[in-house]
Amino acid sequence: MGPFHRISVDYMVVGTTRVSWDLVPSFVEPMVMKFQLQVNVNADEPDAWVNVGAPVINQLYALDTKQRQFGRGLRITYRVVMTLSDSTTHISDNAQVFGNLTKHQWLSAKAIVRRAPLKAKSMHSFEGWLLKRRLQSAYCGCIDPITKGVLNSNCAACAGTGRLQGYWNAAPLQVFDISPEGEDTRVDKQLSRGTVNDAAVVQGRCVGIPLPMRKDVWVDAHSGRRYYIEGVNPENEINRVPILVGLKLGLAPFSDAIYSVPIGLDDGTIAAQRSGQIVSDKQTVWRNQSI
Amino acid sequence: MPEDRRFRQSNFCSLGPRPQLMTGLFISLIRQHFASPDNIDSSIFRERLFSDAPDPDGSGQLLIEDATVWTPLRAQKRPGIVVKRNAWQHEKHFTLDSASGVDEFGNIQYTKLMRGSHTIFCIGREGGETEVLAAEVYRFFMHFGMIFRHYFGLLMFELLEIGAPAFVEEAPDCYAVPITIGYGWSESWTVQENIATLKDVRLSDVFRTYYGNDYE
Repeated sequence: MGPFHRISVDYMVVGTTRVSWDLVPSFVEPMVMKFQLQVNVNADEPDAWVNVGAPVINQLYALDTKQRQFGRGLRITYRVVMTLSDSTTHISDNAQVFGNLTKHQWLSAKAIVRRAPLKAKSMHSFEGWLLKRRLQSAYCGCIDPITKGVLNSNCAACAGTGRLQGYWNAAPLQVFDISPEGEDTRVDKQLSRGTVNDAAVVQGRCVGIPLPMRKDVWVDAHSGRRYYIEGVNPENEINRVPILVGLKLGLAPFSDAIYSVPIGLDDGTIAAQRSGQIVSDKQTVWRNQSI
Repeated sequence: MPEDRRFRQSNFCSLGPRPQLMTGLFISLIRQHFASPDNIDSSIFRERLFSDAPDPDGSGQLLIEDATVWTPLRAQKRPGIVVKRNAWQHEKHFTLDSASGVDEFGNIQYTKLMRGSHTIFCIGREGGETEVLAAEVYRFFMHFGMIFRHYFGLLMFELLEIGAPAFVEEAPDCYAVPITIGYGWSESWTVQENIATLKDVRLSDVFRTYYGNDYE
């Protein structure tokens, strides 16, 4: 367990955002502590963190005065990097900006998040991985240089995303209460799409922090089937913070480039996940996610 | 000197255009176009379809099929080209019953002018990809339409419309660009009657019908 206990964000779209944190009582550090606030405009995209302002020393909050979001998607995430005088660093959990919870709300949310994976022991839950779509890596050569439109949805270099490597390495994501998947392969009634199977869309639920996004991909560990996330609907919110979300998952056609994207985990881990041997690690899956 | 009628025979079936035949024509023309890298304008599609890299999952292939054919093994494979026939209409320019003449045996000849169209739906996962695919298809028909018209003995064969890109709500979401190709032809036929044509009618026979032999 790291030294950070909780990170809170008083988020302002326009104005000054205040990020504060507290440390676990057992963390006794007599030396100087330097905190660097970092921000990521696309959730927790691993190499997209940038420093916000100068580091603060022995201070439990930092300010961000810059407006960083201009559309309607709340993807911004903060974290804090602590550096001790002996150059030891600790990185905090990611902090969401959907809403600021009271301590009671925060504890309730943590309890819900803790219980949700436990429910996965029922028959309606499935181990799997989330392939997070890259939004900020270098453009792939298959895009139009002016419009940036993707010209090859089966490109091996970007898996049809237009960004090199396409997706981040898989993160475990358990989806539960998955609805039955239909089979209705038929000729399109409008006669404009040929043979289709529109029934291959399922509904499921998962913990909403971090929030899976549309066009991310969920991989069913047991069957290898891959599903594009077609919709994300909050099912349980506390003070506007999504705790549990419903997912609409559309089965990718088996010729889709998404099947060529590696999971990015070693075979032993994949096998263990598939067999459910690391069920006890489910809580660590979300350990890095601060509410 | 031998007679020179300059008759150009259609390369269609002798029965002329029919719905299934026209759909098959469009599918074969498009398949032939995409069958050779020399035909393809877009370097992206040329490399994609004719790459030396192994393509075990067939993801580099292009689906080209009839909109009404059930192909479950390739359901929703994208990108794809789906061909659909639209309504056919009769162009009325002649008499009410389309009679256009009488042959040397007295049988009535008929001719109808017909026009129809097919819509080719170019479907892709991404908007840009779909536009490139549509450009590949419509340019092919725009450039070679007159050749096809002559070759198949049609009265018209030309690109009518390149539709706006439309969002196709399927999983995963796709885009489609409809391309409409119009064509026209004349269909002529002769109805051969079973009864021999009367050569003449004598008035005496008519009078005999009404008055019997007494009229004489």
